[in-house]
Amino acid sequence: MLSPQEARLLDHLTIGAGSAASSASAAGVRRARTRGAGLEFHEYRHYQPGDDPRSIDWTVEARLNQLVVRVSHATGDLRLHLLVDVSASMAIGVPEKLTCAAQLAAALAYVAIERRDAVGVSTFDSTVRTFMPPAAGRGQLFRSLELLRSLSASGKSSIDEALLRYGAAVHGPGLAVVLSDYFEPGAGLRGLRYLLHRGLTPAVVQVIAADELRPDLTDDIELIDVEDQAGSVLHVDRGVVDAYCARLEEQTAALRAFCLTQRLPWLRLESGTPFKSMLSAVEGAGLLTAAVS
Amino acid sequence: MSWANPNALWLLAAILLLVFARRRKPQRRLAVANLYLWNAATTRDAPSLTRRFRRSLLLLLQAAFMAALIVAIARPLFSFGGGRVALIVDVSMSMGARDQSSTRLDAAKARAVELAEALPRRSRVRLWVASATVDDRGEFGSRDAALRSAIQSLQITDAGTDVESAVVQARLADSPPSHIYFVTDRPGAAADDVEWARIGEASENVALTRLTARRRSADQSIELLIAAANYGAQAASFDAVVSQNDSILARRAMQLPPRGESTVVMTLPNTAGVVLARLESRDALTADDSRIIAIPPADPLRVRLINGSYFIERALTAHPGTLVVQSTPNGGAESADDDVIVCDGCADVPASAGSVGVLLLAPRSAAAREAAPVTVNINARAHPVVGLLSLDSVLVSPVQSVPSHSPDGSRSGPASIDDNRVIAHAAGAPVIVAHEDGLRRVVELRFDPAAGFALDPAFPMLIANCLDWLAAPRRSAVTVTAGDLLQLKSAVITGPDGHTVPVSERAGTFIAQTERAGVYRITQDAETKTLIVNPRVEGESDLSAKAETVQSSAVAPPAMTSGWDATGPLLLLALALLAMEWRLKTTDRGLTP
Repeated sequence: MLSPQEARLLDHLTIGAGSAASSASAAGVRRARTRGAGLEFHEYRHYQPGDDPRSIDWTVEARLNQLVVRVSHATGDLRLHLLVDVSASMAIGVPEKLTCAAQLAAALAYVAIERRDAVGVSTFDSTVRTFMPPAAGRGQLFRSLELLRSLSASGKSSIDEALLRYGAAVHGPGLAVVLSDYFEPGAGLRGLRYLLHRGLTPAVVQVIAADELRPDLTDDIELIDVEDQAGSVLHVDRGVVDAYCARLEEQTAALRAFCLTQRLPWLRLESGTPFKSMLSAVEGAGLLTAAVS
Repeated sequence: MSWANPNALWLLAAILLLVFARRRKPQRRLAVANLYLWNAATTRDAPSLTRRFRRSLLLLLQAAFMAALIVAIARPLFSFGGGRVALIVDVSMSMGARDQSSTRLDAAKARAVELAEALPRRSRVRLWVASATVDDRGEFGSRDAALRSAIQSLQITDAGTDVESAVVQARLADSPPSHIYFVTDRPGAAADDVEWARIGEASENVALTRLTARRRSADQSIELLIAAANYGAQAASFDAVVSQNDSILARRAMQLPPRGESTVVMTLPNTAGVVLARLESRDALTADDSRIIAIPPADPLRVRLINGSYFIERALTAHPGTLVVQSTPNGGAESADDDVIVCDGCADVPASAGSVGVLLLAPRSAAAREAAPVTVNINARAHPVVGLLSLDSVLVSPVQSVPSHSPDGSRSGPASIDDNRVIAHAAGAPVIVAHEDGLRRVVELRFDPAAGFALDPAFPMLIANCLDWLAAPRRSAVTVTAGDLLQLKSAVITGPDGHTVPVSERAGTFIAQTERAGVYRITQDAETKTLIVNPRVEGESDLSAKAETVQSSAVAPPAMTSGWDATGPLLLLALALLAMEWRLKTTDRGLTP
């Protein structure tokens, strides 16, 4: 799934979890970007009424005759849930959208394991197909990569239904990265809301094929649903492409607006994006950040 | 509307192939993950019905382009004004010839209707019927049912036709036509405004060309001379049958070589009255296979001689069966039984002549007697007065020219030698003049018979011919050929079918047309006479000339096409449709069937 060169690119990254991801109950290597009762000194600041008197540094008071308190980094483990859509629609594109999603999921799993976070990989279509609860350690990495390598797209998709089932089985805190094309009416927003309700922080990664973003119709054509090929046939032509693109942008905008409103990471990837560009995009979305050494 | 190239319209069927091919064109199929987005795009873009219509619009444009192109190739001609044409139909005897199951007139009617229907809708058609005369049957619209009815009602006559005169008369109509169509079986002279629609196939035909009768004075039997001609390319054999009142009097076999003639003489017993001679031949034209003759009764010919000289009297009595009654100009009661009046030395017809034929011998002067005799030249060799006479060696002394009576009874100027009344002339002066005044015939002899001619054997023969000709209307019948005009004075004519024959008046004279062969009855001054009309053989019986394959164009002549050729605008329309189709295909809102 990951070449050595790609792994090297991932070595200096960490999961950019945001404010709701960490678990304060477990100590770990990972630095949380919050101030808390940790062991590592972060900074001094002047005493304010209400501060814990035990955090006053008396040595500085003796020298400077000023009351200051010590502020330390808070540390804890991240529970990363990787949910990969394996419905038939993920087989569209060259390369397939599923390939891109699996590669990104592998990268995220690698980063998380390296930072001693817990990772779980699950697949879904209209329901949860495989469930691997988050766990840390290299063994979990190997299991995750093995699962991701064996993925194949089939079946009908129902993102809402799948996320509802997943959310019912797990709870937060944790970061749930949902990798899908989100091509269904409603774009899975109901499912994402349920994950939020369950204490998870969903991260939306929408994988779209280039042909889906910019359809190139040179002649009249019949369209069928890849997940229901025996269903109705739609005759379309070039004249409908603009309207389709507008509908696609409307749906994407709705998804993005939801993520912005909920302060959730959001990312749209083309399935043929090179790995390095994909990492840049993921970093830009805040899902990955440079590790603090 | 008419079409210059109507066969191109068959290409319109190709449009069906286009539609069929489009419908069966397999569509490329593509599986997509977001069909609901495409559905939303098409639904919001246009309602289903509009979408279906727009899907079909390109096919409609393609079909319309093909249709416009095909119709342009067919070259439609829209005529608005139309014009006036003359349609002349030949109804002469030869048009009765049968080509297989129908007559030439049947074919002519069909062609005439076809010509009329090919004309622009607003055209006016004047129908002329050409026979011995040219009859105007009125003007009709080209699509009027009355025109077709008038054409279908045309009937064949037994007369001939003068093609050139018919064309001239059509041109001189009150509303001159821009074009003349002549449907006939004979050729005509080429003319820019005349289109000849010739019909009829070459056919075999024999005709009875002559029928004469003479009563033998010895036993009063009748010698009947029958002449027949074969106009075909094959020899013909048939029987000549003579009958009276449906009783056959004689039968004789005849054989004619190709393009040959033959004459037979039959002897009939003492017969009088109307006799029919008929050829039992199965040829294309039956109207010319019979002729009628009226055989005068065996009673002697009563001749009233007024002031007759010795020579005249001797010549009269030489005629067999002649009863000469002497009379003076002022004395002697005329008898209603007089057949001929001979007036010697009379300058004019006696007032009491009535309808009796008159032989005038012009007054002779001493100076005329002294004049040197001159040879006689015969103008009308075929006239019965001349008969079989040869006057080549005859010398006569012409007398002073005497004004002749014109048909209207008035005196006209001296008949010139070119006058058709002059039978013979000598030294530039008419010496034998014959004319008819209604049913009365007059012969004028303008020479002095005592100068030498009276001693010639030809003189009594001349007198005998004159008597026969003059007496014929009273003793037998007037015999004419179909188409001849009769000039009468207030007579009622009953045709062979028992109906009254129309009589027209010209300059005080009544003229009756005799276009049908048969026996007519003329009632004039309470007196009824027989008129025999025989078919015209000359120019009508020869059916050997095949009609040229000159087919009338289905398109009206250029003079008639005052309309509009739609080819150019249709081509422009096709180009516009092609441009629309191209534009629709290349724009974002292109439409596909």
